[in-house]
Amino acid sequence: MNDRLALLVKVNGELHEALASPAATLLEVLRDQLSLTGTKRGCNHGVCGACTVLIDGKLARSCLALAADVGEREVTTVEGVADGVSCSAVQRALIESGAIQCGFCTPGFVMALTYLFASDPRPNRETIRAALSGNLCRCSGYVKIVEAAERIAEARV
Amino acid sequence: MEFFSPTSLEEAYRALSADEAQCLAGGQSLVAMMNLGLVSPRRLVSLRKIESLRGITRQSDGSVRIGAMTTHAELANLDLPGAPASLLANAACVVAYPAVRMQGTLGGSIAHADPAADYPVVLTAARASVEIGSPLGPRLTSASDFFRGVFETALQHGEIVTAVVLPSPEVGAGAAYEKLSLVAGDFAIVSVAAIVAETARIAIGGCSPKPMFASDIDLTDDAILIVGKRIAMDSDPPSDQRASAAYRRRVVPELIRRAVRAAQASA
Amino acid sequence: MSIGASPPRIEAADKATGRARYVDDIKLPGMLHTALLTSPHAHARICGYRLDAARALVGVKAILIALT
Repeated sequence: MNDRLALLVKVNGELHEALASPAATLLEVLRDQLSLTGTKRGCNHGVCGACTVLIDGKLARSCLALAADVGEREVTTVEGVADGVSCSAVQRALIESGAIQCGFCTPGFVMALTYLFASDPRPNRETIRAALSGNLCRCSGYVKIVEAAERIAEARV
Repeated sequence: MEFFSPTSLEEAYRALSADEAQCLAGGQSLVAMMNLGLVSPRRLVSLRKIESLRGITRQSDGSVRIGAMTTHAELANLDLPGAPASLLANAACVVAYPAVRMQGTLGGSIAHADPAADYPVVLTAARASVEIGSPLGPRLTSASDFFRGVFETALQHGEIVTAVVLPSPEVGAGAAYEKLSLVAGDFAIVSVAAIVAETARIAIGGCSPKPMFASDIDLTDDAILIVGKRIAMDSDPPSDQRASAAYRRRVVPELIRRAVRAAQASA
Repeated sequence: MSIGASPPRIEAADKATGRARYVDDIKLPGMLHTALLTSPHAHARICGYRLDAARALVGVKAILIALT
Protein backbone atom coordinates (compact mmCIF):
# COMPACT_ATOMS: atom_id res chain seq x y z
CA MET A 1 0.00 0.00 0.00
CA ASN A 2 1.11 3.58 -0.59
CA ASP A 3 0.94 4.67 3.02
CA ARG A 4 3.89 2.71 4.37
CA LEU A 5 5.81 3.92 7.39
CA ALA A 6 9.53 3.55 7.96
CA LEU A 7 9.74 1.92 11.36
CA LEU A 8 12.65 1.30 13.67
CA VAL A 9 12.05 -1.62 15.99
CA LYS A 10 14.42 -3.00 18.60
CA VAL A 11 14.14 -6.80 18.61
CA ASN A 12 16.33 -9.11 20.70
CA GLY A 13 18.79 -6.32 21.30
CA GLU A 14 19.17 -5.31 17.66
CA LEU A 15 17.71 -2.28 15.91
CA HIS A 16 15.84 -3.19 12.74
CA GLU A 17 14.38 -1.08 9.97
CA ALA A 18 11.10 -2.10 8.46
CA LEU A 19 8.76 -0.61 5.91
CA ALA A 20 5.22 -1.42 6.94
CA SER A 21 1.66 -0.23 6.71
CA PRO A 22 0.51 1.72 9.80
CA ALA A 23 -2.04 -1.03 10.34
CA ALA A 24 0.59 -3.79 10.34
CA THR A 25 0.85 -5.78 13.52
CA LEU A 26 4.12 -6.52 15.27
CA LEU A 27 3.52 -10.16 14.39
CA GLU A 28 3.45 -9.37 10.68
CA VAL A 29 6.59 -7.25 10.87
CA LEU A 30 8.48 -9.89 12.88
CA ARG A 31 7.56 -12.75 10.56
CA ASP A 32 7.29 -11.14 7.14
CA GLN A 33 9.75 -8.25 7.29
CA LEU A 34 12.36 -9.39 9.79
CA SER A 35 12.12 -13.11 8.95
CA LEU A 36 11.87 -13.95 12.65
CA THR A 37 9.41 -16.77 12.11
CA GLY A 38 9.77 -18.31 15.55
CA THR A 39 6.75 -16.30 16.71
CA LYS A 40 3.69 -18.01 15.28
CA ARG A 41 0.39 -16.79 13.87
CA GLY A 42 -2.40 -18.91 15.38
CA CYS A 43 -5.79 -17.25 15.79
CA ASN A 44 -4.64 -13.71 14.97
CA HIS A 45 -7.04 -12.19 17.47
CA GLY A 46 -5.40 -12.61 20.81
CA VAL A 47 -6.84 -15.83 22.17
CA CYS A 48 -4.39 -18.67 21.43
CA GLY A 49 -1.07 -17.23 22.66
CA ALA A 50 1.09 -18.59 19.82
CA CYS A 51 2.16 -15.03 18.96
CA THR A 52 3.31 -14.14 22.49
CA VAL A 53 6.41 -11.95 22.81
CA LEU A 54 7.82 -9.67 25.49
CA ILE A 55 7.64 -5.89 25.09
CA ASP A 56 9.81 -4.10 27.65
CA GLY A 57 9.81 -7.32 29.61
CA LYS A 58 6.02 -7.69 29.75
CA LEU A 59 4.02 -10.34 27.95
CA ALA A 60 2.23 -9.11 24.84
CA ARG A 61 0.24 -10.62 22.00
CA SER A 62 2.21 -9.55 18.97
CA CYS A 63 -0.93 -10.00 16.85
CA LEU A 64 -2.58 -7.26 18.92
CA ALA A 65 0.38 -4.87 18.94
CA LEU A 66 0.56 -2.41 16.08
CA ALA A 67 4.15 -2.29 14.86
CA ALA A 68 3.88 1.48 14.60
CA ASP A 69 2.96 1.70 18.29
CA VAL A 70 5.92 -0.32 19.60
CA GLY A 71 8.14 2.75 19.34
CA GLU A 72 11.26 2.79 21.46
CA ARG A 73 10.25 -0.26 23.49
CA GLU A 74 12.29 -3.46 23.38
CA VAL A 75 10.81 -6.57 21.88
CA THR A 76 12.00 -10.04 22.88
CA THR A 77 11.01 -13.06 20.80
CA VAL A 78 11.68 -16.79 21.21
CA GLU A 79 14.80 -16.33 19.13
CA GLY A 80 16.12 -13.97 21.79
CA VAL A 81 15.54 -15.76 25.09
CA ALA A 82 18.63 -17.93 24.96
CA ASP A 83 20.91 -14.96 25.41
CA GLY A 84 23.98 -16.37 23.70
CA VAL A 85 23.81 -19.99 24.84
CA SER A 86 22.00 -22.55 22.72
CA CYS A 87 18.97 -22.93 24.98
CA SER A 88 17.59 -21.19 28.03
CA ALA A 89 16.61 -23.12 31.14
CA VAL A 90 12.95 -22.82 30.10
CA GLN A 91 13.65 -24.21 26.64
CA ARG A 92 15.80 -27.02 28.03
CA ALA A 93 13.11 -28.03 30.51
CA LEU A 94 10.44 -28.19 27.79
CA ILE A 95 12.71 -30.31 25.60
CA GLU A 96 13.66 -32.71 28.39
CA SER A 97 10.14 -33.09 29.81
CA GLY A 98 8.62 -34.32 26.57
CA ALA A 99 6.47 -31.19 26.53
CA ILE A 100 6.84 -30.61 22.80
CA GLN A 101 4.77 -32.45 20.20
CA CYS A 102 3.95 -30.53 17.05
CA GLY A 103 5.67 -27.57 18.64
CA PHE A 104 3.51 -24.84 17.18
CA CYS A 105 2.44 -23.55 20.60
CA THR A 106 5.93 -23.97 22.05
CA PRO A 107 7.37 -20.50 21.33
CA GLY A 108 4.35 -18.93 23.03
CA PHE A 109 4.83 -21.16 26.08
CA VAL A 110 8.55 -20.36 26.10
CA MET A 111 7.72 -16.65 26.36
CA ALA A 112 5.05 -17.13 29.02
CA LEU A 113 7.40 -19.30 31.13
CA THR A 114 10.29 -16.92 30.59
CA TYR A 115 8.17 -14.12 32.00
CA LEU A 116 6.95 -16.31 34.87
CA PHE A 117 10.42 -17.25 36.07
CA ALA A 118 11.69 -13.71 35.68
CA SER A 119 9.01 -12.50 38.10
CA ASP A 120 8.57 -15.51 40.41
CA PRO A 121 11.55 -17.80 41.00
CA ARG A 122 9.62 -20.65 42.66
CA PRO A 123 6.02 -20.70 41.48
CA ASN A 124 3.77 -23.52 42.62
CA ARG A 125 1.55 -25.52 40.29
CA GLU A 126 -1.43 -23.18 40.67
CA THR A 127 0.69 -20.14 39.85
CA ILE A 128 2.20 -21.94 36.88
CA ARG A 129 -1.19 -22.90 35.51
CA ALA A 130 -2.50 -19.35 35.96
CA ALA A 131 0.57 -17.96 34.19
CA LEU A 132 -0.03 -20.31 31.27
CA SER A 133 -3.79 -19.72 31.11
CA GLY A 134 -3.38 -17.62 27.99
CA ASN A 135 -1.59 -20.26 25.93
CA LEU A 136 -3.46 -23.00 24.10
CA CYS A 137 -1.97 -26.37 23.17
CA ARG A 138 -3.96 -28.78 21.03
CA CYS A 139 -1.53 -31.70 21.24
CA SER A 140 -0.31 -32.26 24.73
CA GLY A 141 -3.03 -31.71 27.29
CA TYR A 142 -0.65 -29.35 29.13
CA VAL A 143 0.54 -31.95 31.66
CA LYS A 144 4.12 -32.15 30.43
CA ILE A 145 4.35 -28.40 30.00
CA VAL A 146 3.36 -27.83 33.61
CA GLU A 147 5.78 -30.59 34.67
CA ALA A 148 8.57 -28.85 32.78
CA ALA A 149 7.81 -25.64 34.68
CA GLU A 150 7.75 -27.51 38.00
CA ARG A 151 11.15 -28.99 37.21
CA ILE A 152 12.55 -25.49 36.74
CA ALA A 153 10.98 -24.31 40.01
CA GLU A 154 12.40 -27.32 41.89
CA ALA A 155 15.87 -26.82 40.46
CA ARG A 156 15.97 -23.34 41.95
CA VAL A 157 16.93 -23.20 45.60
CA MET B 1 -4.72 4.38 7.61
CA GLU B 2 -2.93 7.21 9.39
CA PHE B 3 -1.13 6.67 12.67
CA PHE B 4 -0.53 9.42 15.22
CA SER B 5 1.35 9.10 18.50
CA PRO B 6 0.84 12.37 20.40
CA THR B 7 2.67 13.16 23.63
CA SER B 8 -0.02 15.43 25.08
CA LEU B 9 -3.79 15.44 25.39
CA GLU B 10 -4.00 18.68 23.39
CA GLU B 11 -2.21 17.05 20.48
CA ALA B 12 -4.49 14.03 20.82
CA TYR B 13 -7.68 16.09 20.67
CA ARG B 14 -6.44 17.80 17.51
CA ALA B 15 -5.67 14.44 15.91
CA LEU B 16 -9.01 13.02 17.01
CA SER B 17 -11.05 15.81 15.50
CA ALA B 18 -10.74 14.21 12.05
CA ASP B 19 -13.52 12.02 10.70
CA GLU B 20 -13.26 8.32 11.54
CA ALA B 21 -10.39 8.95 13.92
CA GLN B 22 -10.19 6.52 16.82
CA CYS B 23 -8.13 6.17 19.96
CA LEU B 24 -5.72 3.31 20.42
CA ALA B 25 -5.14 2.43 24.06
CA GLY B 26 -3.82 -1.10 24.74
CA GLY B 27 -5.14 -2.41 21.44
CA GLN B 28 -6.41 -5.65 22.97
CA SER B 29 -9.92 -5.10 21.63
CA LEU B 30 -9.37 -2.67 18.77
CA VAL B 31 -6.53 -4.46 16.99
CA ALA B 32 -8.36 -7.78 17.39
CA MET B 33 -11.36 -6.24 15.62
CA MET B 34 -9.09 -4.84 12.90
CA ASN B 35 -7.55 -8.28 12.38
CA LEU B 36 -11.01 -9.84 12.09
CA GLY B 37 -11.99 -7.24 9.51
CA LEU B 38 -14.68 -5.74 11.77
CA VAL B 39 -13.27 -2.21 11.79
CA SER B 40 -10.82 -0.28 9.67
CA PRO B 41 -10.24 3.14 11.20
CA ARG B 42 -9.06 5.83 8.86
CA ARG B 43 -6.89 7.34 11.56
CA LEU B 44 -5.56 5.87 14.80
CA VAL B 45 -4.40 8.07 17.64
CA SER B 46 -2.22 6.16 20.09
CA LEU B 47 -2.51 7.28 23.71
CA ARG B 48 0.59 5.40 24.79
CA LYS B 49 2.91 8.39 25.17
CA ILE B 50 0.51 10.64 27.08
CA GLU B 51 1.86 10.60 30.62
CA SER B 52 -1.09 12.46 32.12
CA LEU B 53 -3.28 9.41 31.39
CA ARG B 54 -1.26 7.29 33.79
CA GLY B 55 -1.04 7.19 37.54
CA ILE B 56 -3.27 6.37 40.48
CA THR B 57 -3.82 9.11 43.04
CA ARG B 58 -5.73 9.32 46.30
CA GLN B 59 -7.62 12.57 46.34
CA SER B 60 -8.33 14.77 49.39
CA ASP B 61 -11.92 13.53 49.75
CA GLY B 62 -10.72 9.92 49.89
CA SER B 63 -11.71 9.11 46.32
CA VAL B 64 -9.17 7.44 44.04
CA ARG B 65 -8.43 8.72 40.57
CA ILE B 66 -7.17 6.01 38.22
CA GLY B 67 -5.58 7.12 34.96
CA ALA B 68 -7.23 5.67 31.86
CA MET B 69 -4.05 4.02 30.58
CA THR B 70 -3.64 1.97 33.78
CA THR B 71 -3.38 -1.68 32.72
CA HIS B 72 -5.50 -4.52 34.07
CA ALA B 73 -2.36 -6.01 35.57
CA GLU B 74 -1.65 -2.80 37.47
CA LEU B 75 -5.25 -2.73 38.71
CA ALA B 76 -5.09 -6.36 39.79
CA ASN B 77 -2.17 -5.44 42.02
CA LEU B 78 -3.92 -2.39 43.44
CA ASP B 79 -3.17 -2.26 47.11
CA LEU B 80 -5.82 0.18 48.22
CA PRO B 81 -8.09 -0.56 51.16
CA GLY B 82 -11.83 -0.68 51.09
CA ALA B 83 -14.71 -1.95 49.09
CA PRO B 84 -14.68 -0.18 45.74
CA ALA B 85 -10.95 -0.65 45.19
CA SER B 86 -10.95 -4.35 46.07
CA LEU B 87 -13.90 -4.92 43.74
CA LEU B 88 -12.05 -3.33 40.84
CA ALA B 89 -8.91 -5.32 41.62
CA ASN B 90 -10.92 -8.57 41.73
CA ALA B 91 -12.41 -7.85 38.34
CA ALA B 92 -9.06 -6.89 36.83
CA CYS B 93 -7.69 -10.31 37.86
CA VAL B 94 -10.21 -12.15 35.69
CA VAL B 95 -10.04 -10.05 32.57
CA ALA B 96 -8.86 -12.27 29.70
CA TYR B 97 -5.32 -13.68 30.07
CA PRO B 98 -2.00 -12.55 31.55
CA ALA B 99 -0.61 -11.16 28.27
CA VAL B 100 -3.83 -9.23 27.62
CA ARG B 101 -3.84 -7.90 31.19
CA MET B 102 -0.32 -6.55 30.84
CA GLN B 103 -1.22 -4.46 27.79
CA GLY B 104 -4.97 -3.79 27.97
CA THR B 105 -6.14 -0.69 29.81
CA LEU B 106 -9.03 0.38 32.01
CA GLY B 107 -9.89 3.34 29.77
CA GLY B 108 -9.70 1.34 26.58
CA SER B 109 -11.88 -1.37 28.01
CA ILE B 110 -14.64 0.91 29.24
CA ALA B 111 -14.62 3.01 26.07
CA HIS B 112 -15.20 -0.25 24.18
CA ALA B 113 -18.12 -1.14 26.47
CA ASP B 114 -18.51 -4.79 25.59
CA PRO B 115 -21.72 -5.90 27.38
CA ALA B 116 -19.99 -9.09 28.54
CA ALA B 117 -16.96 -7.25 29.94
CA ASP B 118 -16.09 -6.96 33.61
CA TYR B 119 -15.50 -3.28 34.34
CA PRO B 120 -18.95 -1.92 33.40
CA VAL B 121 -20.53 -4.17 36.02
CA VAL B 122 -17.97 -3.44 38.71
CA LEU B 123 -17.90 0.31 38.17
CA THR B 124 -21.70 0.48 38.24
CA ALA B 125 -21.82 -1.40 41.54
CA ALA B 126 -19.03 0.76 42.94
CA ARG B 127 -20.89 3.95 41.95
CA ALA B 128 -17.71 5.07 40.21
CA SER B 129 -17.41 8.04 37.90
CA VAL B 130 -15.79 8.30 34.51
CA GLU B 131 -13.72 11.38 33.73
CA ILE B 132 -14.12 12.33 30.07
CA GLY B 133 -11.69 14.77 28.52
CA SER B 134 -12.23 17.02 25.54
CA PRO B 135 -10.83 20.28 24.16
CA LEU B 136 -13.52 22.01 26.28
CA GLY B 137 -12.17 20.53 29.50
CA PRO B 138 -13.00 17.47 31.60
CA ARG B 139 -16.44 16.32 32.68
CA LEU B 140 -17.43 13.66 35.19
CA THR B 141 -20.16 11.12 34.41
CA SER B 142 -21.49 8.40 36.67
CA ALA B 143 -20.66 4.91 35.50
CA SER B 144 -24.34 4.09 35.14
CA ASP B 145 -24.75 7.06 32.77
CA PHE B 146 -21.49 6.34 30.93
CA PHE B 147 -22.46 2.85 29.79
CA ARG B 148 -25.38 3.31 27.41
CA GLY B 149 -25.74 0.06 25.51
CA VAL B 150 -23.94 -2.57 23.50
CA PHE B 151 -20.56 -0.99 22.62
CA GLU B 152 -22.22 2.35 23.32
CA THR B 153 -21.03 4.95 25.81
CA ALA B 154 -21.50 8.63 26.61
CA LEU B 155 -18.31 9.47 24.71
CA GLN B 156 -18.84 12.01 21.96
CA HIS B 157 -16.63 12.10 18.89
CA GLY B 158 -13.26 13.60 19.77
CA GLU B 159 -13.52 12.83 23.50
CA ILE B 160 -11.19 10.60 25.47
CA VAL B 161 -11.73 8.70 28.70
CA THR B 162 -9.03 10.24 30.87
CA ALA B 163 -9.67 8.57 34.23
CA VAL B 164 -12.00 6.56 36.42
CA VAL B 165 -12.76 7.90 39.88
CA LEU B 166 -13.62 5.45 42.64
CA PRO B 167 -15.58 6.82 45.59
CA SER B 168 -13.89 6.82 48.98
CA PRO B 169 -13.76 3.46 50.76
CA GLU B 170 -16.90 2.38 52.60
CA VAL B 171 -16.08 1.50 56.16
CA GLY B 172 -17.00 -2.07 57.04
CA ALA B 173 -18.21 -2.93 53.56
CA GLY B 174 -17.25 -6.10 51.71
CA ALA B 175 -17.19 -6.64 47.98
CA ALA B 176 -17.13 -9.57 45.58
CA TYR B 177 -17.22 -10.16 41.86
CA GLU B 178 -18.69 -13.42 40.55
CA LYS B 179 -18.07 -14.20 36.91
CA LEU B 180 -19.59 -17.19 35.16
CA SER B 181 -17.67 -18.10 32.03
CA LEU B 182 -17.12 -21.26 29.99
CA VAL B 183 -13.37 -21.21 30.46
CA ALA B 184 -10.98 -19.00 32.39
CA GLY B 185 -10.27 -15.79 30.54
CA ASP B 186 -13.40 -15.89 28.42
CA PHE B 187 -16.01 -13.14 28.49
CA ALA B 188 -18.72 -13.56 31.12
CA ILE B 189 -21.93 -15.39 30.39
CA VAL B 190 -23.35 -13.60 33.41
CA SER B 191 -21.46 -11.64 36.06
CA VAL B 192 -22.46 -9.99 39.32
CA ALA B 193 -20.63 -7.38 41.39
CA ALA B 194 -21.82 -6.94 44.95
CA ILE B 195 -20.97 -4.42 47.67
CA VAL B 196 -22.39 -5.26 51.09
CA ALA B 197 -22.55 -3.21 54.26
CA GLU B 198 -25.87 -3.16 56.16
CA THR B 199 -27.61 -3.95 52.89
CA ALA B 200 -26.39 -5.09 49.52
CA ARG B 201 -26.18 -3.35 46.23
CA ILE B 202 -25.46 -5.27 43.06
CA ALA B 203 -24.77 -4.76 39.39
CA ILE B 204 -25.38 -7.49 36.85
CA GLY B 205 -23.71 -7.97 33.49
CA GLY B 206 -24.41 -10.16 30.50
CA CYS B 207 -28.17 -9.87 30.93
CA SER B 208 -28.88 -6.62 29.13
CA PRO B 209 -27.28 -4.03 26.85
CA LYS B 210 -25.94 -2.14 29.88
CA PRO B 211 -25.38 -3.33 33.46
CA MET B 212 -28.48 -3.78 35.62
CA PHE B 213 -28.49 -2.39 39.13
CA ALA B 214 -30.32 -3.01 42.36
CA SER B 215 -29.69 -1.62 45.84
CA ASP B 216 -30.96 -1.63 49.44
CA ILE B 217 -31.26 -5.40 49.38
CA ASP B 218 -31.74 -7.02 52.78
CA LEU B 219 -29.29 -9.77 53.53
CA THR B 220 -31.81 -12.54 54.16
CA ASP B 221 -32.06 -15.55 51.86
CA ASP B 222 -35.59 -14.60 50.93
CA ALA B 223 -34.79 -11.00 50.04
CA ILE B 224 -31.83 -12.07 47.91
CA LEU B 225 -33.93 -14.64 46.11
CA ILE B 226 -36.72 -12.16 45.41
CA VAL B 227 -34.26 -9.67 43.92
CA GLY B 228 -32.66 -12.45 41.88
CA LYS B 229 -35.98 -13.51 40.41
CA ARG B 230 -36.98 -9.94 39.69
CA ILE B 231 -33.70 -9.26 37.90
CA ALA B 232 -34.13 -12.43 35.88
CA MET B 233 -37.65 -11.39 34.88
CA ASP B 234 -36.71 -7.81 34.02
CA SER B 235 -33.59 -8.79 32.12
CA ASP B 236 -33.18 -8.89 28.37
CA PRO B 237 -30.30 -11.31 27.89
CA PRO B 238 -28.89 -12.27 24.51
CA SER B 239 -28.73 -15.78 23.12
CA ASP B 240 -25.28 -16.32 21.67
CA GLN B 241 -22.61 -18.95 21.19
CA ARG B 242 -21.89 -19.00 24.91
CA ALA B 243 -25.39 -19.45 26.32
CA SER B 244 -29.06 -18.99 25.61
CA ALA B 245 -31.14 -16.18 27.07
CA ALA B 246 -33.08 -18.76 29.07
CA TYR B 247 -29.89 -20.13 30.58
CA ARG B 248 -28.75 -16.67 31.60
CA ARG B 249 -32.08 -15.93 33.26
CA ARG B 250 -31.86 -19.25 35.06
CA VAL B 251 -28.39 -18.74 36.53
CA VAL B 252 -28.53 -15.08 37.45
CA PRO B 253 -30.37 -15.49 40.80
CA GLU B 254 -27.79 -18.02 42.00
CA LEU B 255 -24.90 -15.86 40.86
CA ILE B 256 -26.43 -12.93 42.73
CA ARG B 257 -26.69 -15.05 45.85
CA ARG B 258 -23.06 -16.12 45.56
CA ALA B 259 -21.82 -12.59 45.00
CA VAL B 260 -23.72 -11.16 47.97
CA ARG B 261 -22.59 -13.94 50.33
CA ALA B 262 -19.00 -13.68 49.13
CA ALA B 263 -19.08 -9.92 49.62
CA GLN B 264 -20.38 -10.39 53.18
CA ALA B 265 -17.60 -12.83 53.92
CA SER B 266 -14.95 -10.43 52.67
CA ALA B 267 -16.02 -7.53 54.89
CA MET C 1 18.48 -47.20 22.78
CA SER C 2 16.65 -49.63 25.05
CA ILE C 3 12.94 -50.10 25.64
CA GLY C 4 11.85 -47.83 28.47
CA ALA C 5 14.40 -45.11 27.68
CA SER C 6 13.05 -41.58 27.10
CA PRO C 7 15.06 -39.99 24.31
CA PRO C 8 14.17 -36.40 23.55
CA ARG C 9 12.61 -35.65 20.19
CA ILE C 10 15.23 -35.05 17.53
CA GLU C 11 13.65 -31.77 16.51
CA ALA C 12 12.59 -30.59 19.98
CA ALA C 13 15.41 -28.06 20.29
CA ASP C 14 14.52 -26.53 16.93
CA LYS C 15 10.90 -26.18 18.01
CA ALA C 16 11.79 -24.69 21.39
CA THR C 17 14.10 -22.09 19.87
CA GLY C 18 11.86 -21.08 16.96
CA ARG C 19 14.26 -22.50 14.39
CA ALA C 20 11.84 -25.17 13.20
CA ARG C 21 10.20 -24.18 9.93
CA TYR C 22 6.51 -24.74 9.45
CA VAL C 23 4.83 -24.24 6.11
CA ASP C 24 3.77 -20.67 6.93
CA ASP C 25 7.37 -19.83 7.83
CA ILE C 26 8.65 -20.63 4.36
CA LYS C 27 9.24 -17.60 2.17
CA LEU C 28 10.50 -18.05 -1.38
CA PRO C 29 11.19 -15.30 -3.92
CA GLY C 30 8.17 -14.70 -6.12
CA MET C 31 6.05 -16.89 -3.85
CA LEU C 32 2.31 -16.81 -4.40
CA HIS C 33 -0.43 -17.56 -1.86
CA THR C 34 -3.47 -19.71 -2.47
CA ALA C 35 -6.92 -18.92 -1.21
CA LEU C 36 -9.40 -21.76 -1.28
CA LEU C 37 -13.07 -21.24 -2.06
CA THR C 38 -15.23 -24.21 -1.12
CA SER C 39 -18.86 -24.89 -1.83
CA PRO C 40 -21.26 -23.75 0.84
CA HIS C 41 -23.61 -26.56 -0.21
CA ALA C 42 -23.04 -30.26 0.45
CA HIS C 43 -23.35 -32.68 -2.46
CA ALA C 44 -23.83 -29.78 -4.85
CA ARG C 45 -23.05 -29.93 -8.53
CA ILE C 46 -20.94 -27.12 -9.97
CA CYS C 47 -22.95 -25.64 -12.82
CA GLY C 48 -20.62 -22.80 -13.73
CA TYR C 49 -18.22 -20.10 -12.61
CA ARG C 50 -18.37 -16.31 -12.43
CA LEU C 51 -14.74 -15.29 -12.25
CA ASP C 52 -14.72 -11.67 -13.39
CA ALA C 53 -14.83 -10.08 -9.94
CA ALA C 54 -12.04 -12.34 -8.68
CA ARG C 55 -9.90 -11.68 -11.77
CA ALA C 56 -10.35 -7.94 -11.27
CA LEU C 57 -8.84 -8.00 -7.76
CA VAL C 58 -5.35 -6.54 -7.49
CA GLY C 59 -2.73 -9.23 -7.08
CA VAL C 60 -4.68 -12.18 -8.48
CA LYS C 61 -2.24 -14.08 -10.69
CA ALA C 62 -4.27 -17.13 -11.56
CA ILE C 63 -7.53 -18.87 -10.81
CA LEU C 64 -7.69 -22.65 -10.77
CA ILE C 65 -10.95 -24.47 -11.32
CA ALA C 66 -11.96 -28.11 -11.69
CA LEU C 67 -12.45 -29.20 -15.27
CA THR C 68 -14.55 -32.29 -14.59
